[in-house]
Amino acid sequence: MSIIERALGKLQQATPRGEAATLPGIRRGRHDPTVTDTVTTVRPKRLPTETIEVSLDMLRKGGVLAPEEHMHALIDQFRRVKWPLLQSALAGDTADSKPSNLIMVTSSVAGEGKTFTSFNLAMSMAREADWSVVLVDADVAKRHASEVFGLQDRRGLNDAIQDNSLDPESLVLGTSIQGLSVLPAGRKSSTAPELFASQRMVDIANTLAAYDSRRIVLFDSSPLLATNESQVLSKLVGQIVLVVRAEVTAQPMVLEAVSLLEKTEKVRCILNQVRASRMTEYYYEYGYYPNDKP
Amino acid sequence: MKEVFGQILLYIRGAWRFRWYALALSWALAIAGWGFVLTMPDVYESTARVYVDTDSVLRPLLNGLAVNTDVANRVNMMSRVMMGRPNLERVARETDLYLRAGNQEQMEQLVTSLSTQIKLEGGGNNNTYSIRYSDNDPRMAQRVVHTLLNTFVEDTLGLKRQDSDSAQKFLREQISDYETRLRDAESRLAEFKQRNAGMMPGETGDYYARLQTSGEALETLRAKYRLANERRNELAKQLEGEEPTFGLFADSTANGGAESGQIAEYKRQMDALLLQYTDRHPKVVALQETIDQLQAQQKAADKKKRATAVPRDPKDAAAFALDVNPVYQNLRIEMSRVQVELAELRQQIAESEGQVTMLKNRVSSIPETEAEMTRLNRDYQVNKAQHQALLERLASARLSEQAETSTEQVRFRVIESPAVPLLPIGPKRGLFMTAVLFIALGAGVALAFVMDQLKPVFLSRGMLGTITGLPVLGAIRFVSPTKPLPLFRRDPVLVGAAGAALIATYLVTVVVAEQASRIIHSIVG
Repeated sequence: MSIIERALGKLQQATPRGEAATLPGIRRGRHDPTVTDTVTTVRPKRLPTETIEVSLDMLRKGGVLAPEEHMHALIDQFRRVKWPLLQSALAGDTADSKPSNLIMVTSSVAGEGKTFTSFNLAMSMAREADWSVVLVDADVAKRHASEVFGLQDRRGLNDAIQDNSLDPESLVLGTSIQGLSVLPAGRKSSTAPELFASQRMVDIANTLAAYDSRRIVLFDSSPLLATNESQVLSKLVGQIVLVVRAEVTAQPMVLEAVSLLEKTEKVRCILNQVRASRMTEYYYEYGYYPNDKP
Repeated sequence: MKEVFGQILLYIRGAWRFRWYALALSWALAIAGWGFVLTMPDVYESTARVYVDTDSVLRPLLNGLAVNTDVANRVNMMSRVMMGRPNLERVARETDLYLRAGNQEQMEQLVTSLSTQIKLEGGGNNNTYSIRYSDNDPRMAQRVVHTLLNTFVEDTLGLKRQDSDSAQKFLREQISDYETRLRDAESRLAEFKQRNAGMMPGETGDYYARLQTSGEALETLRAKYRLANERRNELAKQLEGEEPTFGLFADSTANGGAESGQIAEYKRQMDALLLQYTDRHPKVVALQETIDQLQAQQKAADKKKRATAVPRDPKDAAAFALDVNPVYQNLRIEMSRVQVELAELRQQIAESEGQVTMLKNRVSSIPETEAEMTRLNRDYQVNKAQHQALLERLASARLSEQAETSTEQVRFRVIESPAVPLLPIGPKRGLFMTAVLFIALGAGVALAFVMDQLKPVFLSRGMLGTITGLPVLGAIRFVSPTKPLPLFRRDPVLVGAAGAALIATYLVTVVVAEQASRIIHSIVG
């Protein structure tokens, strides 16, 4: 209910500007020239930033989106996945005062589908009327997410870490997808990994979180067992999503990755790339009993 | 039920990850196994069939007990008779089978394997048995059966003969033993007879007679002696009663003449005697005594005369006269003679007594000798009897042996001689190859499962949740970034194709197994 009211509120706010009154949609067409330079503002605090053009094709090419025929299923699945996350985000700060709208997507090893999951999760959340998402490419080594957007050379997280004066928000870029913004990885730097553990990072995270409690900050981070950064980052965020690739990642690896995370963290898993027919999926559920449903 | 099914699916899903490993292993094992099976050498079997009246063979063994008609038992006993270890060793040697063994231990194993591999069957009511043996070399198979058969024939036929042979041997030994004893007894007997000649039972009459004769002789002698004694006494009396009418002269010439004439006479007699006898002869001794006596007398008389040269008293003269009295002289001569006789007789009596004593001793020992004789005789007789008995037994044993061997032939007959087999009976290559196939497939599957267990992954959200202990947001289904592979290039199809290829290979190989093995054998040699 409140969501509808808020939407109406937005409309009202938008209307005095004289723009075409449109309900916030999932995406604006790329043919709409008026959108390229403006960003729909929802909150007055929002600083004017750049917006980049994002097309589904681009995303598909980047390997983070499924082909057309699978989209429906994928959307469906991610819709189910995001709800607990959003619920937790609504709950406010965690017990140890970490902003719960900071969500980190990580995995044990590379290639499990973090970026894929991050993207789809971000897109799914962006579709929510009440919520917006900023996708942060925290994998400063691989920077896959930035590459997908073609923002690998743009300033981003790395720069913000190094330069204390830089406001991270100013580096956030809007996209043509409603509700989705991006913070790229930033320019390559050799010192950045060490700086991850600094107080500056904490500040950046908090700044991003504080901007809007209804804005999810989704960190697409590096594998836990590969680098130290995600481990550091895990201490700053309120929620952690561990992506596990089915039938490939060895169990011990995953367990080891889990052990790197503090027990107080709110960690949840996603099983990715599950190969199944309908029948096996039906039976799969009964292979083991999950001990905790989110 | 659902859980079980789900579990199984999980296992399959997990193992599927290693499908190519499994296939590789299966193929490798299959090829290796089939290759091995094809190179296995052919096995040939040779068979012989015989008719054996087992009772006839077994009777000596069963020794008069009721023959057990249980067939299995009979076969058992037959095989023990046929395939006792020494028998088999002989077979191994004669067929050159032992050439396959390198050392003593291998030889033992060879013989043991023979005992298990030679199959003896049959023993039904018709008493037919078949003997089978298999070997890679057809000729060897035939040889073994053949030799075994021969050994058996010789053995069973020879069993009886051997028995009687040994019996006869025993008898012969005994006989020679007794012969020796017999000879000993004989010689002892002979020696005894020799030693105690005249004392033998037949001859002892002699001794008794002799004893008697001697006794009588002794008596005669004694009688003579008594007579002679009496005569002497008479003579003595007569001599004393005679008045001396003879010369009073102390002149010794007449006396001396008479006495010395006597002495001379005696001396002449003595000379005559000495011609015949030694001076130990009783007559001689007696005569000598007399002569001495006379001489002594003469000396004494002479002395006396000389002592009393004067005319003597009438006694002396009487004495003197006596001396020249021819009657007196005759009496005196007679007396001397009688004395000599007496002396003689004394000697003779002594002698005779000695002889009698000796004979008596001898005679008393005759019963002992007799007993000894009897004993030796008996010994001899006993030995002789035994010897005879043994000889008879030997003769009878020989007879019985001949009688039996003449009937033995009938109890054993070879119905079918072992032939050199032309075609192999095995190995059952098809069976082996099928086994190889199953083993290969099984091994492959097992490998996949094992590898899955060694490298576990997450297959379902349930699994993820349980093992990590974390809540699971959901499962994202795999989305292929590229177009899905055409059906024929999809994994299950490929795997299935590989498996099918394996089975196809198997079928082909089984069909051509025989030819293939032959080819391989000709190549390998």
